[in-house]
Amino acid sequence: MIRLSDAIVIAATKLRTHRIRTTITIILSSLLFAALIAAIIITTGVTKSVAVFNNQGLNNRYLVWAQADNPLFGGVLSTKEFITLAQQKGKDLIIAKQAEAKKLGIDYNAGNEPSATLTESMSGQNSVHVNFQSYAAIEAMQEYVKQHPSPDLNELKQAAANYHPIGFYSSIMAGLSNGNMSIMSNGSENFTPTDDQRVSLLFPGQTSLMVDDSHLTQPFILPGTTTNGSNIPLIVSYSTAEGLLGLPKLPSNASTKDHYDRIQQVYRQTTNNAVTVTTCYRNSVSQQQIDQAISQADEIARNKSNKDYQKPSLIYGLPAANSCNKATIISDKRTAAEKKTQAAQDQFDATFGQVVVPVQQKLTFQVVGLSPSTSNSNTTFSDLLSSIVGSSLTDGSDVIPADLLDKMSTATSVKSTLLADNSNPLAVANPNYYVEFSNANDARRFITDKSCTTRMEGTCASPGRLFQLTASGNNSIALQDLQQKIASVLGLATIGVVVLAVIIMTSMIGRTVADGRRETAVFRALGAKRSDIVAIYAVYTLCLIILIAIISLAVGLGAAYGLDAYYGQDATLQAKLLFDAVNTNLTFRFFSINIALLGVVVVIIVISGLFSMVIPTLRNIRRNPIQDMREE
Amino acid sequence: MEQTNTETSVANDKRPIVVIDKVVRSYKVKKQTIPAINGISLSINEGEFVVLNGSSGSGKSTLLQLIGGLDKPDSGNITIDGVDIKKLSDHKLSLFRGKTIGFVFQFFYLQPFLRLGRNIEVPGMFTRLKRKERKLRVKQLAEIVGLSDRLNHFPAELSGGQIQRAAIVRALLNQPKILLADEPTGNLDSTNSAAIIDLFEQIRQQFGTTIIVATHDPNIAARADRIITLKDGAII
Repeated sequence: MIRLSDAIVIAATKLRTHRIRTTITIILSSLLFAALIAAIIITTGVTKSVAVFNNQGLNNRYLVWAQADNPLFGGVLSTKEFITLAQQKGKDLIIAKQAEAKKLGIDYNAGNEPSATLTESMSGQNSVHVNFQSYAAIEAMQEYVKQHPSPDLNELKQAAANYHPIGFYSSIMAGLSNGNMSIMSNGSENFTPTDDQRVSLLFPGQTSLMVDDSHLTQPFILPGTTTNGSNIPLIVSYSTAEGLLGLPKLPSNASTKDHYDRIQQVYRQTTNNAVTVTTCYRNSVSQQQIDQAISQADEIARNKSNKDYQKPSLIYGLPAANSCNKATIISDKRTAAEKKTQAAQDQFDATFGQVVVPVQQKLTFQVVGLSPSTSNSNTTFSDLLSSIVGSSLTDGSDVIPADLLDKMSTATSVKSTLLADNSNPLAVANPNYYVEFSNANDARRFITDKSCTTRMEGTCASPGRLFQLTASGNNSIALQDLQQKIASVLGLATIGVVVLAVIIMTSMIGRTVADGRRETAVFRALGAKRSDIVAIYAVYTLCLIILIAIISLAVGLGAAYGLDAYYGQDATLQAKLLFDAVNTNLTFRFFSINIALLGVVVVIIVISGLFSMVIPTLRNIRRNPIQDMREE
Repeated sequence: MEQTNTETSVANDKRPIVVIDKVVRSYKVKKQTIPAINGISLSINEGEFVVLNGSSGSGKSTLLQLIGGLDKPDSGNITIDGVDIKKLSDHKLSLFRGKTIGFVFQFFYLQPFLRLGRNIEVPGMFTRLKRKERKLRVKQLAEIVGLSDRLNHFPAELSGGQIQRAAIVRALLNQPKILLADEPTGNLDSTNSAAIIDLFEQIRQQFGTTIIVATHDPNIAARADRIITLKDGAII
């Protein structure tokens, strides 16, 4: 066969024959492969960067949130069995109340007792409902829950046993079962808070207050923070901390750099200074007395000049604004009989589940940790990115680390306020647990196999599946899925690029080979064997491929490098915000060369180029040279 | 001896180098079979200068291609330098052609983007002639045809006569025993044609090459040892 050096000499002349066609082919094929190479470099860079940033927060962990159903959900309250139980409880309550009233010597009118059930007529048909205002109904629910308890941690452990769990953690929703808290701005209580301020559990925008296991909270704890033993430790989102520090909100058009600087400022200030917020908790009786003190003072002021006005026998006054004490008694002109009757009534009410004693407590929270803010709106690309790759402990809640709460000197009284049992079982939060796995596959399998399918009303439809299971804390599982998706999309893109490039190259090489029939005939007349012709076209194609490969690599590398140079810094800031890596020197790169993968692309270019040559060349050498010369 | 379809060598003192025996070749054009060579028998001796004459379509180019092993007969035998080329595989026939036969075409067919020296080297590339030897032969042959100072030029920079001389030199690179030329002066003016005819003569004298030329050119015919005239695929 012809020597390689000679084949190169002849092949090189072919590259010069159809310059426009050759140039177009080289440009088109190079751009296609360049796009592929750039995509590979960028994907490799992003994947590596994500992996590095993923070690922050909860990102590198595979957590599944497990929530059990409330046993009262799912139509239980409408069943005949429950209605009968509630009605029976209603009858028993009246009998018990009549007996207790008689014993205490107070009046009790059973006709005023809210019925345990209500009958409603709809479309000519009567339907019976539970009356949630009735204490008898609450008693019936309590009894039902006692008989049908929610699945507990042991049952969760059993369900997860086959999926190699590496940890089980509890998360308790803290709640103010009876009362509310309001922030004491500048140390003073606002006795007339707006409705918003009053219903808010703690801070604006907060959806709940959780007490979480230290395994969950540890990644978010600020370095070197200590509490004085009486402050309640709290992990809040950056945006909440921003508000607590009194920093004005950034404008909506603030740059990534502005956000980053703000986050660093929040981090620095929260780490260096004890950021605290003091609140006043009052139960319903305490709040009622404060409200009464305000309305009585108002009434007395309004009737100052009314000689016929008779002041109330018991007048409440406001406590010192910085004390969070109960309302003071300014005057108590009640008779002994009145006081006795009131005491008997209080005892009666307490017996039947009503709160009668005022409870108030000054609670000071101290920020000991920060978690990335989560966005519910997804209105901007940044929000969307945040929801995809970010990790957040708080997820709209503020979190008290359970271990730090236990270390508090006032742990017992704080727990009695924040973790008090709710008397209404319907308002009791379902048990929350987290199961941790070492990899996404186990977590995904556990969710698929064991999570109940949620019905419209929020209950489990599948028997035996006791918990609703959701990937939580981060999107590690989704991220891994996303990476796999990207890999498969890249695979498909590779196939598409190769097919397109082969079509372009085949048509170009086909045309060149067809145009070279006369030349082939002349070569054959000059002694060329078929293998010599194949070698010449193979070398010609290789020259073409090498050019395409060089240009593809140069353009692909250049494009990826350009993207990295142009957006890398911004992406680093964005990633630091998303991944809770504010206090690190990590950088986010769009540019990372995977030699093996690029090698594969070059091999693909070579193979696809050679493949393009095969059919036209085989056709060419099978032709009769005389026929080609004659046609010429 | 059949006078119409058979020709024997006039140079009886030399051995026959081309022996054609009852060769038939026809082509199918659409559904019609057109006979190109119709039972020709012919013998040409070593060193003979033979002209194939005849009108267009008489079969002279086809006969040339059959002798060169570029085409195979439907029937009959062709023996070149003692080798029955019909029996050779495509690979062996290519090797044989490369070493034994040199081709010269009417339209020269030089590679436009190869310098003249490289163009002349091409047949040597296919026979794997050593580069050094190729260069030496190119130099010697170019000197003979007066192209020594043109070896670094591209074909587009040369005249028609120079190009045809280069094409003849290219055909001689592998020192073939037979030189086949198809209308070698068809694209040349009379001066260049005369120079080419002189060159054929010189080649025969210097190398003892058998030269077979298919041509209408009476000037070439006048210099030939023998003229074989074809009509409708047969020797007349």
